[in-house]
Amino acid sequence: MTHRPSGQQVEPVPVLSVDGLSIGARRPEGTLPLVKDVSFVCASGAVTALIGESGSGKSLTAAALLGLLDPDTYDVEAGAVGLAGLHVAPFASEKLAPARGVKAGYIVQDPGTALDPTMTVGDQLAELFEVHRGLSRAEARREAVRLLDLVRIPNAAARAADYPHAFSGGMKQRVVIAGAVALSPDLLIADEPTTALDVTVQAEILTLIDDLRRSIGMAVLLITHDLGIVYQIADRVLVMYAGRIVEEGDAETICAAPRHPYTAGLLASVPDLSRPGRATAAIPGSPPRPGFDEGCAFAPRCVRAEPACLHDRPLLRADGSSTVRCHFPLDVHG
Amino acid sequence: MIRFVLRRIAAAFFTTVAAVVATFVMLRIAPGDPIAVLLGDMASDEEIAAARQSYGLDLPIWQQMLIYLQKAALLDFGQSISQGVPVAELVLSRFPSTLMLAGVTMVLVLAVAIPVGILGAVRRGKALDHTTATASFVALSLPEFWVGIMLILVFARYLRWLPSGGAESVAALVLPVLTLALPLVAVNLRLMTTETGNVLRAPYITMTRARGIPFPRILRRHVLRNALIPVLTVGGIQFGHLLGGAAIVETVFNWPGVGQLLIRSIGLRDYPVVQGCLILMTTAVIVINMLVDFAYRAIDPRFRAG
Repeated sequence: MTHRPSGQQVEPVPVLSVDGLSIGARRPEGTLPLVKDVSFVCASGAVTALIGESGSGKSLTAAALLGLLDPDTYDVEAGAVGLAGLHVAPFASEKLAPARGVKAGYIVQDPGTALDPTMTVGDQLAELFEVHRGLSRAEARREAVRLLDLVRIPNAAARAADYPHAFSGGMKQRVVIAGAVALSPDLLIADEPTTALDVTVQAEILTLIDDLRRSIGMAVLLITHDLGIVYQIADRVLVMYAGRIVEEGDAETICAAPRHPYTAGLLASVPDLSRPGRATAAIPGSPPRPGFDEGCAFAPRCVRAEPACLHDRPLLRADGSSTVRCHFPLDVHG
Repeated sequence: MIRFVLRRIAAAFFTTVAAVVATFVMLRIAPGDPIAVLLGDMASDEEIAAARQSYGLDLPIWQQMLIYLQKAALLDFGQSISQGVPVAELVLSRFPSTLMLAGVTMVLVLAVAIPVGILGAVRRGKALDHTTATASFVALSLPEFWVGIMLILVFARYLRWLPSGGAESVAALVLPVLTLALPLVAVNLRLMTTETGNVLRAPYITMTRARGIPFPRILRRHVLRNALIPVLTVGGIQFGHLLGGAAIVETVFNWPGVGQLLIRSIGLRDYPVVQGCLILMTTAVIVINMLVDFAYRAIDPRFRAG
């Protein structure tokens, strides 16, 4: 159990605390490090966004937290991981069994492949209540209908008998979300929940996630590369680059005044709809190959890089209200 | 669903007709003269001509075929040239033996291949997986006639545990069933392992794990159904082939089935019987394929959508 100090209101106990998480891909020639010594916390009831480009290791981090990575393919190590009062590292199934579905729900990018095609959506949701709550099939099915209603699927009682292929992408994602929040978890891990959806549906799904967060009182770890989402619902932001966290802080602060040149580049590459015609600035170059690990991983692409950056790896340092991994961070005032 | 079934039955009917026509034409093109075999070397030209006329073999092929199709529609497939009995009667009298052999073989094949295949995938890269992979490769490489003869040598001749052939007792089923099952188990087992592996890596299985569903229940309720579809397809084709008679195995074990009848009739150039056997084989494959299509829809709702 996590020790709860008496002055809890001042410093709320985080629902998720990750300390020293490393993930490597097992290769015949050795382990290829992909996520390197990542530590962070998710505060109860808040939305923490983990952002970065494809390949930065953010999805691996999410999957590792519930022990969902294939141990034959990935080597996962962690100093300590606390999830809603449970110590879940090292990620053995017996340690995670009480957490999965109950303490933490999980949603993935593509709802098209996230549901069993051979089972009705009602039965897939009902299964959670049969397994974790010991309900009878009939009671569990009533709970499933209640859930479909909760995620605003019209005509829930009838739709529960439909198979996944009869649902649109947005509706499927609602079903997946229903499965993730069924048992009112403390944490929802959402890995790019809107990326595979139409733009019009994206906003609806985000609103749904945020409403559920409030009504259930759960925290959300939101993995995304979409900064628009971060503006909309995130409280805290973690920026990941080449397997390391390079900046961390309040969403507002980071969006207004990024300290790491990479974060600044990400923000500059977002199209600004209020100023049409203004060109967006892409970050030059591309992320380093996995396995390359010398100096600052971003240095080859960085406009502010000095020769030292190529050899000397910067540490994550608290600087003002955010934490940044850079030898020459941007000024708070631009 | 009813419309699908009717459409599927109609399609099966036309496929069967096409198969009958193809069989007929191919047999006429093939070398060999049944009258020469029937009458022997000593027959005079007049006798041969008379025999040809009595069997209708003097008519042009297209006319022969029309007559054949007309009669086949009434389930009259002609008379056996060598035995003088109706073909339908002869072939159908052999069918129960073949059905028994095929049925027992298929039940054994699935009963071994499905659970062991799943276990191989769950323990991917472990001893069981490697063993079945190697054993399957060996089993597939051995020809049926050789396996059959080896089994007879060991179990019938040296150990004297089982009869070497015939169909007089249940024990007589063991060796032919084993011979037939060996390569089929190999195929289905590896297929089941591969497909179970694919399904286990599917995102929806990861999602069931994330929801805390216990692994045995995931296997039973989610993996099995999804992984069964390819085995259903292949197993259906295999069963169809077995129903048409396992020519080599039935011959090696002197099993009185359709396959043995076919081999003998080919030797005798008994066209009507060969035709009858081939039509039974194609019909069996077509019917089983149709049943497999129906089974798909029962297992996987996506097939119902189209």
